[in-house]
Amino acid sequence: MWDLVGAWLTDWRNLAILAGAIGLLYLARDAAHRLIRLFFLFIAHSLRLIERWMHSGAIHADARRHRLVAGLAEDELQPRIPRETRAATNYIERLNRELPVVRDALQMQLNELQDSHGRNDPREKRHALQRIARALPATQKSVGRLCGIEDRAREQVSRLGTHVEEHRKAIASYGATLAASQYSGRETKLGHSSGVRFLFALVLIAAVGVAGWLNFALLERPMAEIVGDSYLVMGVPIYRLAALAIIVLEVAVGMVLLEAVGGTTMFPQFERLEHRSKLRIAIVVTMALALLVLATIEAALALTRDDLARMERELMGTLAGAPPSETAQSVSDIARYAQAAFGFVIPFAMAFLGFALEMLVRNGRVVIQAVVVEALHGLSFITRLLRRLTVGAMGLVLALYDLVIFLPLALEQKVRQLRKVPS
Amino acid sequence: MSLTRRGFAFGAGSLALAACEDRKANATAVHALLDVSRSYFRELDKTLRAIRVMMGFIHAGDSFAVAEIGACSFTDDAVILRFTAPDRPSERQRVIGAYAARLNEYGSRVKATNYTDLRGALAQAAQYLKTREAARRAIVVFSDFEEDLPGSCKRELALPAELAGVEVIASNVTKLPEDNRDPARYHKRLETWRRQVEAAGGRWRVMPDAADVVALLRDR
Repeated sequence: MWDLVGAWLTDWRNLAILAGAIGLLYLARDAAHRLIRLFFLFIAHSLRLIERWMHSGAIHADARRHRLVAGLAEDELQPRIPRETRAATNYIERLNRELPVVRDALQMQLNELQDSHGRNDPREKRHALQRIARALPATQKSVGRLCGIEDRAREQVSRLGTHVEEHRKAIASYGATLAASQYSGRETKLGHSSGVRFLFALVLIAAVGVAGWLNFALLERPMAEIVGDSYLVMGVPIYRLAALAIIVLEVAVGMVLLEAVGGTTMFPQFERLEHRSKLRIAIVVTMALALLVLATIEAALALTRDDLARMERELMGTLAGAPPSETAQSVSDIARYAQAAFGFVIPFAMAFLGFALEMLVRNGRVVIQAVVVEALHGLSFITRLLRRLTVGAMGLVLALYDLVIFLPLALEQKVRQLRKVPS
Repeated sequence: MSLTRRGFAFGAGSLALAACEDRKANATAVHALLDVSRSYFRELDKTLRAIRVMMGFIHAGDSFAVAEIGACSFTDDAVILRFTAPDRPSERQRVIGAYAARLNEYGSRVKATNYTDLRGALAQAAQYLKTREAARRAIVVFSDFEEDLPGSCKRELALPAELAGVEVIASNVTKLPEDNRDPARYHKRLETWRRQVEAAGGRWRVMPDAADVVALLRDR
């Protein structure tokens, strides 16, 4: 290496070229520095723009996440208020209905009492007083009932007031959090409950998925008995699709049932049933019956599956010339009833998918939003780092440029110093 | 319903119909040939068991036939059983059980013949397989492949053209006493049959163990 450098330096032409190049670089120093600065600063400014855009996106995403969290809390609080309002309204309506009846009864008795005072015949007076005395317990009872209704109405209104106040506080508190996160840009961590609920939903879905898979295994063979196994749809045997259709049906029935009983609130159409209790009850009963029928069908199919499997085992044994085993038969009996029980229970387990889906969708949005926030913050950090590195690289390139032309620069400095001395 | 929606519904319906296909297109057709000549008769129980086990792995739409190789076997009288598997598992099991019983009954009453009309049996099997709708066609021959035709049977040397595309599997090919003295005779015999099958457009395969042919229907 050193030999090569030495050999290169011995040639005067090389030295001349080097000196010329250094001279040219010295002369072009200002322009070259401007060009280098322009190039690196252009990259740095672009990176800064991207960083700002990402940071702003992260703040907006965070604000949206807070809104979603607030929405979740509100969703939990909100259903209580209309229910309690309805209950209070019912009491008040009952009060309004019964009050005139009691008032009329009292008025009538008062009138009769006044009439009896005006009468001269003691016998008539006694009869009138007896009538009033007979009617008095019923009136007393009505007044007592009225007082009871009034007490309950007061209690209900007071409870409603408390919940409305709680709701207001919750909204105000989330609003304050939201405002704080929006204006201060403070990092807030993901709402713990959303993450936990999301994980719980995933676990529940996985459990229901396993149940569904077992269900599929139970249904597959008996469905081949029902629809045959000679047709395929896009390469999938039709009996498998039929088994899947039953599972999907079970899930759908379970979801509608949960929605109708108010366990989930995924479909707005069902919220309209709040005021149509008879229709709601009809839907609940129909869906519960459908689920029961599906469970019974599935238990029967599980038994059919076991019969088919037993027939197949026996046939294979016969074909191979092996005698049937009694132990295998007793084990098979246990498995048979276990399968039937399993087939009956699974549709009800599948119904819980509605809970899991609702939780997954609601909390999934919050979790995804949190992931987006973190991703944008991360990208923003990387962009900032790149910008700083670009600025650093610019300084390095400028220093290297000056290093190459250090000799003319040193001479220039000397000349300047010499010029300064006489003055 | 708007035109776009109607078009979409029509397209989806057509797609579903087009996507629905009969499993027969992917079915397998197997014809087993069972040599009942005197030289191979001692293998009868073994081969019948292998055939019965093969039947246990038949799927919906599969065709299966068994015929004997005796004297002048190009006849329907040589066919022991012939069926296409139904698409309902229980019915299929019932049919298979019934045919297995028929095979057992055949095994108990069959007598050894003096002749081996391999060519006639192969032609009969090839003709049957040609009529079957199947993705894979195979003839499984349980024999020593020593042909011995009676004088009344006239057979051409070349195998029929119906063998084109058919897999001919020679299984459990036993060695004759002459093969023991001259092993080259055994290999030469199999080689001659291989050439004849391939000349007719068929594919030749040897499966020494009778149990291996079960995999033909099992592993798919």
